[in-house]
Amino acid sequence: MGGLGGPLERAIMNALWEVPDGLRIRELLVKVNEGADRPLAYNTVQTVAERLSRKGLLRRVPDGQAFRYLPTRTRDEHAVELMLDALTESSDHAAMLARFAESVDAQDARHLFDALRERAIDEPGT
Amino acid sequence: MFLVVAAGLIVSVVALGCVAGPVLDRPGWPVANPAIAIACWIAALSGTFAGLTGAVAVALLRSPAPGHGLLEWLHDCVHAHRHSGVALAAGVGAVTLFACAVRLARGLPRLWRAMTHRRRHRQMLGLIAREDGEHADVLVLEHPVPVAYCLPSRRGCIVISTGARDRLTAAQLKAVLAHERAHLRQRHHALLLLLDLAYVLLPWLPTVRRAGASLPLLLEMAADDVAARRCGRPALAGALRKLAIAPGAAGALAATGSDGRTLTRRLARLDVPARRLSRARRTAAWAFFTCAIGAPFAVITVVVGLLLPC
Repeated sequence: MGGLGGPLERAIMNALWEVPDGLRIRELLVKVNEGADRPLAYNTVQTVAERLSRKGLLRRVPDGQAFRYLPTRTRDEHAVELMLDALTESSDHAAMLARFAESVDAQDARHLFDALRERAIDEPGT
Repeated sequence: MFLVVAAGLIVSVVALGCVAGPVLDRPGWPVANPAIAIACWIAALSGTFAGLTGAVAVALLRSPAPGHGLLEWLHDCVHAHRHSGVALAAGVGAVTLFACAVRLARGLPRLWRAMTHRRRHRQMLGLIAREDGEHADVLVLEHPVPVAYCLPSRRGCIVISTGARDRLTAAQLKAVLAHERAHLRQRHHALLLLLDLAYVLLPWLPTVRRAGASLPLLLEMAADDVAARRCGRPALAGALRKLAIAPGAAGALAATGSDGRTLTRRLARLDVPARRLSRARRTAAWAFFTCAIGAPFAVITVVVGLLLPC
């Protein structure tokens, strides 16, 4: 299978996105099984976590005898990537970004402006 | 007889591949009825390809030509090619076939990458997006930029950002969903993929090039028509002003490009209701559709009929 969007992967990613420092499999198991009617087995959670780290979604760091798993990127960062992906497919994305820029309120506009300025400083010439 | 068939095929390829595009691309009439325009483009494209396939087949497979039988060819290669026209036709056919094969070999990896990219996008969406409580086929992506697009798959779904959902009124949201569902139902993504394949194969033909530029906009307009009929023009126009409806992560159109003014044209069309297409033009369009699809196929049937006995 190797799919990413299944309910198991979702549950594990959701649990880990809430804990930025990461969890061991045993801790993750407890968190995933909170309030679940059919608790998952340790091995299942470990296999799925392994698969997610192979796909680059989780990072594994040694922690004593075991490993801690932490997300490589936040949920928001993934959302931004998906949005950019969809936007670059659009034939009219310049017009749409312009409309978005017009429609944000003053405070958001300032955030946007700051972010763009930082980016311009980071990568001059782009 | 073969000469007549071959000439007919070549004429139909030239007519459909080179002349039909500019004629179909004339401004005005497609806007009035995008559905008919789309049908005509598809007919022109499939007619071109059918004609070309037929012409190549005739050039290579008619009885004295090399493809008629490899053994036979090896046996009396020299004898059979007495007539210079036969050799020329076979040569041109082989070169065309070769050129198409090379283009395909180059283009397929790109198409494949696009498909893989789309699959990855879908999987990540499954991980990141939340299901919408109200509509079973809608996924909600947490992001302030207002975007809506459809994601073709076995169970096609529509992705909408929270930015879009917050900005749209209930009626506008309904119009957007109707627009995206029309894309999915009418299989526009498959059409775009075929179009891209045509562009990979024969980018030199004016009809193929123009179809690449015109069809995406026409597909948007066709989906607009469905949404406007269901939810009213004002709701759809309002929604379009607030967000751009991306054509969906089809991933395959990068090569064909667009004129970048699609939204302006779509809005103009919604603001001023288009005149209905005159009866004469409608008839002409359908006549073209029938001829474009029918002629090359009829000729091919004749060819097959003539080739089989030998």
